[in-house]
Amino acid sequence: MFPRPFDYARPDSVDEALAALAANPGARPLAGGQSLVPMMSLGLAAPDLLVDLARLPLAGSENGGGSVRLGALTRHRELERSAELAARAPLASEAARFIGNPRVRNRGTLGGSLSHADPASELGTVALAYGGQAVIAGAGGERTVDLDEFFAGFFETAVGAGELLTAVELDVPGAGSGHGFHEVAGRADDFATAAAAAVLTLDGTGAACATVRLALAGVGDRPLRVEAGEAVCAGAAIDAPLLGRLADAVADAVSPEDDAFISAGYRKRVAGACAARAVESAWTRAREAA
Amino acid sequence: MEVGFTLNGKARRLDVPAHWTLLRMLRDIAGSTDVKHGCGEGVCGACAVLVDGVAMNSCSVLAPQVDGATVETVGGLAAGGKLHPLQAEMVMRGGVQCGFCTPGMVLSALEAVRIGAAGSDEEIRHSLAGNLCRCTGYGKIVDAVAAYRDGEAPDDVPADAGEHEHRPEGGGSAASPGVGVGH
Repeated sequence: MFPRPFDYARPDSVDEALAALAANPGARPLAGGQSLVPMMSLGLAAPDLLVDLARLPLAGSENGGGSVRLGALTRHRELERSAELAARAPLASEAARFIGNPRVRNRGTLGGSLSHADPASELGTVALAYGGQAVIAGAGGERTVDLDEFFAGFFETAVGAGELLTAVELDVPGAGSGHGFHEVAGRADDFATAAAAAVLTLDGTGAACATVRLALAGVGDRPLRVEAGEAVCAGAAIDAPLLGRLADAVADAVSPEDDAFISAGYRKRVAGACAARAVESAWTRAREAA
Repeated sequence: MEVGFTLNGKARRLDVPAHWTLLRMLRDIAGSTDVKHGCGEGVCGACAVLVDGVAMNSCSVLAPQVDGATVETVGGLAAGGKLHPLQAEMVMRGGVQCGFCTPGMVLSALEAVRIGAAGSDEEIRHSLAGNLCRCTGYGKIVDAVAAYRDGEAPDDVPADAGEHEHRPEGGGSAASPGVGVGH
């Protein structure tokens, strides 16, 4: 129940960190460590070298050009508790409260969570529901990847070997929009049975939804957008019958697997209900703000 | 590698393998066996400590990560022969039975009260999520945290109160350990 031996480096700059990662194929970056260290204790991960990112200047946030840039080392607890971050990216703030428990949120980071790419990741749904860009640093400099292309598979992302996710730029819409998040889990700090995040933009009349971006977690090999659900909402006024159709569409669209505790069929139903509740609260907020 | 940190007010400099967790360093080198090794995988909260005032599971932090930091464990709370007021409330209100979860529970609760995340019983329960207790059913722990938050703590509970059958006046028989309360 302890990690296997590894070497440890604590670089002072992104360039040093990239060099250390590139020089050793068995190296892994360490951010908050709230997934990686338990995985090492369980024998599920055994890196040769841990590159601790603690000293890198990757925290902080800023607004610019219609998007909100959040540094990769922004901790979940800051998203949850900072009034400034809640104003900038309210969906991230709302979703962060459902991650792990307070001790985990005190350490865990946005960049670590997205790079780990757990299929049940709350922040994965936030990244997809807002949309935007992932900023990835590598030996050749920085590149950006559309957040829709970021999650590549089961615990896999667009971040390549020797690269680091340094920030995300979220397309947070302004007036005439609203967000919603809903999660069901077996216990307060358990992985999500299903979770849904929605960002809804009203049309010019303010009486109907123009577009919704809807993302689900816990129901596939990665956090994913459910376009079949988005299509149900586009151009419509959100009411109870529509939310029922939305729940059915989402349940039909996702393909979770059975596990030891939860059947695939139940998870699909929960996913539909989470999606409906997330969209309902996004609609209510957008209408109240209009 | 060498890790220099402050442990319960005392400067320590320890030679520790880089792959050791903070939990292992505290228990096996620093002698802080008040920090409990429960699940070892970030689920149970028994190993919680405060690092620079922030609660975290010491099993999920590596020893080198506290280089230069201030670490507080439950063993540093009692002062002048008296329990910390939250510890006193835990004893008085029956929030302690086997006691294994108590160190982590107390430190998590202290942080919650300090940052204003214990305003209601519901908030206390959210703040203590991930601190598992298999004895008390949590009600008495929540009561103790609420009472501490409200400043009701007695200031005369001796630091060894938790180690004896004796309870101060008003502690109530339900606080006696080992009688299967609530089962």
